[in-house]
Amino acid sequence: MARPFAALARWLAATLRPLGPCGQSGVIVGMLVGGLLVIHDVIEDGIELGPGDFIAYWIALGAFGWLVLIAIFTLFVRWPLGSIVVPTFVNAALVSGLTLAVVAAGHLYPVGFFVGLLVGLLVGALLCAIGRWLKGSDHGLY
Amino acid sequence: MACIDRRPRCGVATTPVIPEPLSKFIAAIGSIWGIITALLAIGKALGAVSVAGGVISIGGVTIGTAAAGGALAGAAAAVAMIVIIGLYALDRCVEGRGLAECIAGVVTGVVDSFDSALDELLPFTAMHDRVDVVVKSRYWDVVEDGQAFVFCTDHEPPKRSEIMRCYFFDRRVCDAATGAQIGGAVGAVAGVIAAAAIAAAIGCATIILCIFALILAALVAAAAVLAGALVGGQIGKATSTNDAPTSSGGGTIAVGQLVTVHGNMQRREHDSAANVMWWSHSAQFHGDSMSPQPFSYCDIDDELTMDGCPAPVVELR
Repeated sequence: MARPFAALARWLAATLRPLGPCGQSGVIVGMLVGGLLVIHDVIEDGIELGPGDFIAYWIALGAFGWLVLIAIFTLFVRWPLGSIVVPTFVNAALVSGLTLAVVAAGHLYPVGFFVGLLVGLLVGALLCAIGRWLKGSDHGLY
Repeated sequence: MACIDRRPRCGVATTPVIPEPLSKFIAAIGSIWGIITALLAIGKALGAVSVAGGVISIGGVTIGTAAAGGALAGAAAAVAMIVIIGLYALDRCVEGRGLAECIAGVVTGVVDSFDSALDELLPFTAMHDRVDVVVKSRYWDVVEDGQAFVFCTDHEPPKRSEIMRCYFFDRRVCDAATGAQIGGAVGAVAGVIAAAAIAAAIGCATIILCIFALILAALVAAAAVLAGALVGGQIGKATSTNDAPTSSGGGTIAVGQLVTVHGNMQRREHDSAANVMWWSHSAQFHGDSMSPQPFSYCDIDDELTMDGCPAPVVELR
């Protein structure tokens, strides 16, 4: 069962390599956030987010994305927590907020997963580019 | 001591290095979450999924919306986690295609499998036994092949030397990975049930409460899979054999030994995109090095003039 996914993982690694680790982090957060939006929209038969709900919703999704990234980078990639806690926070906050904003504004809940993927890709790639410009290096999360 | 003029090409590979686990997570989350959410959206559009009075009907099966949401989020997280464990098992236990290569030098380090606490916590992530060899300068082209990342010693030039990582297959690693897959599957069933129950208990009285329930359901299911993988992996490891890296003569490889290693060379993301032996098929022992530590190729080139690698045939004209 794992072999088709292994082939997909190799293709993704080659295709997404130029994004860097921060770009790929953005894609992970975007897919998870967008996917949860789809599930929530289906079980609620349509969501309407008021201004008061948006901030709380964003905080919940952003915290979830941040937690997932911290778990991935500390348990699996095994980078020190201190080196990734701020970059992952920035990444998760921006990707989750923008995904939520685009999905809510455009009533794009049924395709929230793909919106999240795209937003994560773009935001992550932008953060990587900013990081490289600031540090002049491809190492680390930024 | 005969150091050469050429400097070793140490450090950064010419292409960006992506941490190995990220592509696994993207493949698993992208495919599983993509499929599940696409099916849900299409099912709702076609009327196969409908919601009325706090109850959701999926293909004729009715369930409370909160429980359904918890089960869906939990299933997506659990299946993605199982796929990730499967990808690790495939990576660790399938040799794959590479180049048949040979290197010789002195052993500068031996790293046992399961050498960290995280390997015990996540048994499917453990690596095979690794032997680091400071190679003779003659084999620098092998280590550098394909513009790979190159590990080097901390010497200043001209003594700075290139290191080849040689992995030796350890049955414990694959038995632990198999155990983790089985344990993870068991954990997934329990995790999805728990996820549905937790989401139903929290309920979807408000939008915020509902998304909190879905998030918690996903986290609980993923944690259940990892817990199952921990138990299953430890059982697999405990019931297996710990294979130490050995030479053809049967002796265990140790630091300071002069060796020739034949193996399958691959470029691996786990090793910062360096060329490594994955796996080493055989190792010849040529005695213990009398050179001072830390070892340098300058001494090893002189000490190990005759190694076990095929010598290039020089055509006389």
